[in-house]
Amino acid sequence: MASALDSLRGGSIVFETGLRVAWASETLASVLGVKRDELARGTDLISIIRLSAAMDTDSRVLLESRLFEAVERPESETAPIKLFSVDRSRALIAEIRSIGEQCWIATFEDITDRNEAESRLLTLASKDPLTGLGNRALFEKSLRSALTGSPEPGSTIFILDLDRFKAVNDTLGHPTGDGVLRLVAQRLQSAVRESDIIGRLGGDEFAILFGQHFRPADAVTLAGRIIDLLQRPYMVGGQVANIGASIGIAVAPRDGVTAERLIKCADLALYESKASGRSRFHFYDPGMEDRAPDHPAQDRRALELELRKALPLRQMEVHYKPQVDITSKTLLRFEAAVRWRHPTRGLLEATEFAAVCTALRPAVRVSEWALRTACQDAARWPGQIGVSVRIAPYSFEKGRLLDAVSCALTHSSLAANRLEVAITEDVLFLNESGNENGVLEMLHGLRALGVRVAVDCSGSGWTSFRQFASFPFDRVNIDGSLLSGSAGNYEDRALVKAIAALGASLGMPTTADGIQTCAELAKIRSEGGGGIEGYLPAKWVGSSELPNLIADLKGET
Amino acid sequence: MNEKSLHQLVYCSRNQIKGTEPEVVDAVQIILSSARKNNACAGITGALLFNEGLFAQVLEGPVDSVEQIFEKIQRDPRHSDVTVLQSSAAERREFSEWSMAFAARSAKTGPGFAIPAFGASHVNPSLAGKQVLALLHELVVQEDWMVSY
Ligand SMILES: Cc1cc2nc3c(=O)[nH]c(=O)nc-3n(C[C@H](O)[C@H](O)[C@H](O)COP(=O)(O)O)c2cc1C
Repeated sequence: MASALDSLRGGSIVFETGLRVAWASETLASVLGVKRDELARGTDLISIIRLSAAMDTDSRVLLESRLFEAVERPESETAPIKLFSVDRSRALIAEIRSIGEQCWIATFEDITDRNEAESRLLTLASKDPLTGLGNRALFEKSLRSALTGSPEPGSTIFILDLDRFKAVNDTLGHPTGDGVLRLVAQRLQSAVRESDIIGRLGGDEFAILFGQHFRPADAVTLAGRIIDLLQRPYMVGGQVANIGASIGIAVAPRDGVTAERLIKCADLALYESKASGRSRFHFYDPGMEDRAPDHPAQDRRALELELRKALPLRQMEVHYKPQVDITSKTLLRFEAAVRWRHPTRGLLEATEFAAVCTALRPAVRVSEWALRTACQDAARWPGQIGVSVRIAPYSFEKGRLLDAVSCALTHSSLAANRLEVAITEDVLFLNESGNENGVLEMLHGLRALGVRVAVDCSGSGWTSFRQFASFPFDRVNIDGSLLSGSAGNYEDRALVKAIAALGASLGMPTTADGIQTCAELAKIRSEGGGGIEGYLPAKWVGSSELPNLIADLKGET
Repeated sequence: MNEKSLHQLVYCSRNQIKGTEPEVVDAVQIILSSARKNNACAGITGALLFNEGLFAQVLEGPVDSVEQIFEKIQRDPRHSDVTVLQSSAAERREFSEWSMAFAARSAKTGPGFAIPAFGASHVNPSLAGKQVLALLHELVVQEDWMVSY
């Protein structure tokens, strides 16, 4: 019981006029100590609170009065309140906010462990217990003291964020992830001077403060060296992990003279590095402020908050694109992709919001919702038309993808073989060492459910696609980006041929997104592309347009 | 030593030692001598292959020692682009005689050999690992090759 509670640190509930439940997070039931079905849509929130075993009488009365207050006076700002369990052994923080016309969200967070953790951290004099580095508070303190008094000319900071770390954590497990973080800290220490200060800002974010005699040229050399060093393989407990690192650099006094400002500049530069393809570094430049309406950390946080509300506010949609075989002209399946109809930013593609939200639970919920919706839609299509849903398995928590898929199939009554789950090739990176690990297990689990398993490949490196041999995919799909442009560049074409030949040699059907005509198809085949297949060009459409589209396509063939 | 926790790691990487051929050969000899000294203490055996600007290496021993040596090797700027071909528990040592056997192309024996997995874009990693192992095994026991202990 204790361990189950440990993993459930919080939850939230959206409610409407009359204190009726609109949506409740899956974790909320355990946080409040009620049954899941007691949180069904339309239930009276007050009756739920009266059932809750997680609160003593005083806490319940306090929460109820705050809820009424929030609903009756939407303008009023309410401060978070602290709630206690009957035996006062656990504590919750609750916060209520208005998130739209007649719509509120209440978030609950179990802070029992945090209280303990915080006091432990304090006694450890601001050291991060995992890596032994200073934590964020200590790093900021060091930075402030370096900047005050006699501001050292050229004080430079790096902020550094690991790429693909979450994937490592999810597939190889937290102990391995922790081991990797320890090695990252050691590698950083081995790369800098004794006098430089390294901090772990949180999660997979690190920072380095360079003292005197550090010139921009040094920063360039060192940033390159650190990126190289951190992207080399890690071995922990016999398992091999591959991650990368991106860096943002800010220099005082040029970019700023306060710690907050300098960190913000380095954050912006870091974002630029991530956005321009990772494993890079950038110096802050003022142009980044203008270029980056979506970029600053605050904005990212705003987007995250909005994403939390997107599902309850029904802003998410699944769009479809038909895959019609060029040669036989048959409609094979629809590709499904999630879109966010954002109230001010317009229709956003998954890549536009997933990039900032990959580490978030809402991203998991959106993926699950999209999968369920796609299956429900597909179940209504005639005949054997299938649906292909692209999934980044690490957007699902460990082991949860299989549950989500089988749940989606059960609820929709869709025949399993009509669902295709498409993973992206970078997921295979995680299987680098050839070890048994989560990824292969998961793929075999999917296969056992009877769904098709496809891999989407954009050629981000041979190190990954040589992994194709490790699992018999039902389809290898070559990303459109490799075929875009009239001829594609030489290397990309070579890659397309190599993938197609590889697919053929392994007996896996290969398809390519960008092949649009029979002539092009023939050309690629004659150049050694073997049994490659292509699709007729098509547009993405919303689900309401599907019945007509299917009728049209059937009519044509 | 508890041979139950025996681990075997096979990787290849790209040489970053710059210089004339004799300079590079010298530098590789330096790597070898520190490898032999350290590995003997740590209970590590294995083989290192050097050819056409590439390294391939097999490390075998207790998993903790392999991990420590591998981490040290990772931080070495004398090579880059490390690709792990195999990392798995092993039943027995393949190179029990050598703290670090060495194979390289010698001018006398003609053209070099290709290290599997490099250059080829689609190789099964564990297969490539086995090929490297087999290749190293073969080279290490062949008299012709410049093999030293
Ligand atoms: C391709 C390559 C293979 C290496 N193999 C080993 C090895 O097997 N054992 C080892 O101790 N060091 C090896 N090294 C050297 C280490 O990176 C490091 O320089 C050495 O362990 C430092 O030893 P020292 O502390 O005794 O000077 C290798 C380096 C390279 C570039």
